Amino acid sequence: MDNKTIRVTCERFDPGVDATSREQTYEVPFGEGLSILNVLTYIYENLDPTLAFYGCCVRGVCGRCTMMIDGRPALACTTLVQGDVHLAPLRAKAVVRDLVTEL
Amino acid sequence: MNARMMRPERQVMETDVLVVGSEGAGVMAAVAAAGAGASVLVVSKGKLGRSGATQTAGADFMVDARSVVEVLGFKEGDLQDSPDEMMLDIVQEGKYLSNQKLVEVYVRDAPLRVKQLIDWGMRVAEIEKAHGCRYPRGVIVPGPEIARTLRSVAGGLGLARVEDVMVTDLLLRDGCVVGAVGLNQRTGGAVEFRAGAVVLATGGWQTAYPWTTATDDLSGDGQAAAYRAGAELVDMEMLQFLPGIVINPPAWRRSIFIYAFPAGVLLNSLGEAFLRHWDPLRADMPMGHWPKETVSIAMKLEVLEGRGSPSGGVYYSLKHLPDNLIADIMSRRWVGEWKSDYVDFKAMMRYLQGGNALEVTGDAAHYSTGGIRVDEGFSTTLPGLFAAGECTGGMFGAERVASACTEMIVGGYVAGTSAAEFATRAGRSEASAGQVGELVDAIYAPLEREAGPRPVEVRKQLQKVAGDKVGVVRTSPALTQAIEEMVGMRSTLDELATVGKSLHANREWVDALQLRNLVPVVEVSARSACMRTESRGGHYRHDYPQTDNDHWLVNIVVQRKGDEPELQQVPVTTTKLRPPCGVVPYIESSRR
Repeated sequence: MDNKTIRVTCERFDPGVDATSREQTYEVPFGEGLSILNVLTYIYENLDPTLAFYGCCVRGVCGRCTMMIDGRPALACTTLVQGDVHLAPLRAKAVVRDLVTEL
Repeated sequence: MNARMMRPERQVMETDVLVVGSEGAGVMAAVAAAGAGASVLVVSKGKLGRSGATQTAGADFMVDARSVVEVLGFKEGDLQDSPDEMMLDIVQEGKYLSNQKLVEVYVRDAPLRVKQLIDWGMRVAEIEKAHGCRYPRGVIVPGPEIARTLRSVAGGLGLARVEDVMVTDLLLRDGCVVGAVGLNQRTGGAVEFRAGAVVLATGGWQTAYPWTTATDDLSGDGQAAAYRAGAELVDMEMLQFLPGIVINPPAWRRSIFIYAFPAGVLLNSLGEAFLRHWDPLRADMPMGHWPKETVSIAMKLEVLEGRGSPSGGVYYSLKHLPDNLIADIMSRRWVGEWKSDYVDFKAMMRYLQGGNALEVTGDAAHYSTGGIRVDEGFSTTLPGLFAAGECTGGMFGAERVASACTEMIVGGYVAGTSAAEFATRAGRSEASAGQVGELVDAIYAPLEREAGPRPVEVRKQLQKVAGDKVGVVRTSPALTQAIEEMVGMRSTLDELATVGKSLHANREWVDALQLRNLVPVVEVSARSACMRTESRGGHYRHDYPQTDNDHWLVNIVVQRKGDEPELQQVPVTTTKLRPPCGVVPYIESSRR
């Protein structure tokens, strides 16, 4: 891994607290062969344990990590990071919190 | 601020049979219990048909090859085979630690249950004779197709279910299981389940380890809840590890890719093809031709002796292969498509062919061989509590080669039937006074505690101990240290605090509750592994490298006594197959 970093912007919303959603940007080390779910796990473990996202099978089967990745619905576990990225909850479903929907 | 004020109102749900777990074993149990006339409620930690290991199964249901023809109607079977022949193979592969009464149920019911799934619309890809298997017993169905079938059956029967609810503990009255409590991960509300009987179908505990092939939700929930309630666990020292699982680059973690491309070579950090030291006769053979146990042990020793990769694995390289040969292998094995389990490996192949090595681990936790002790009715040692699938122990003894998919559907169906019978007879009763409140307090404790160790950090510590000291290569000093560290972590569990206090989809909160299960399970596993001073199947003791049939044809059974686990050695349950005697080197006993 080189020392390159990318900016990961996540839409955040907690129904217990927030009236509207807001955005938060994290700076994350970048390397070859990194999935969106890897990046979210990095944020959770190292930068912000309060970020909500869901992963289960980590291989593209269960579909539960589906979210809007740069405006398109896609699986976080099988989508490779190319550079700066914008993440938001899937639009068709009710938001539980942050990137987790009632999917 | 009194955080306690935030608790949503507790929900109460009632049913005859509560099934905890929503995949192969759970849905089968629910179908059987409903068929026997009981009301049924399925609780899923995630979503039904989208959780646990079932959906990721790469392979097969195992049915004896005669029944493949006679019951399932596939001409590719073999009439020479029989349930008895299959039983012999399972017991031999389990190094004679299997409870033979359970294996009898497996071989008896396998054709019936697989037939049932096929009748429900499950599509069989092919019938296969697995490598090293005497008969074509493999009824190949990819995991996603099994999961699709389960969703369709559950939908068709209108099975009542609650989803995204993690069951944390069982409720008792007079020593009898009468329900459970859990956390609704969406709302942050506690749920109390009142039931006539409970079936645990919660899967394995692989996430205790740094590397695994399993899904993120397998955290020993059933084993730990059963243990806390007083049920017995068995063979907890037996765990199956797989070598050669990708750990870097991270996007392909958990992949068993290199089994589909066994021509690669494993190198340590000195650049040595270290496997050749283990068996000169196989020195030039690619990794795929080596026994998995040998490869696991060899890889782990490289790491333990300081010749591992930065992330604690070794390197896997294709650099010795010419590009056109790689293309040739690829076109034959993968039909030009680098895809498996929906994961696209094109970018990984570019990385490899660009001259890079992958980092792979020798000991990804793959299957929990031991677990909750059950009898041939899949009753646990607690009245009212039943269990099936990977969360149970005893079926495969020391090592599993036979299909875990068959185990889950066979056990699930019997457990569901037994539970319905029990619930009808016993009826429902309320838990002893104060219990629900106490167990619900335990759920909220990490959320309401203002400060304390962070679940993420404690999980990393736990995984390091499990991987280094209760992994593929075991020794008395390492296991003793692991036990001490787990005893220390018990008190850490009472201090865990989340940073975020949200009630909704709070990962740290769920991590804390999972740790509450993983710590006792790892402790029990380490204690059992420490007691077994021999090597057998999935349990390799570097300090006792012999399989000792004269002293160790016993199962180690663990039960909680007060706050401490009590270990007991009990003779193996045999029916028709007589175990061998004598002492043989592990490397020989592990050969098939």
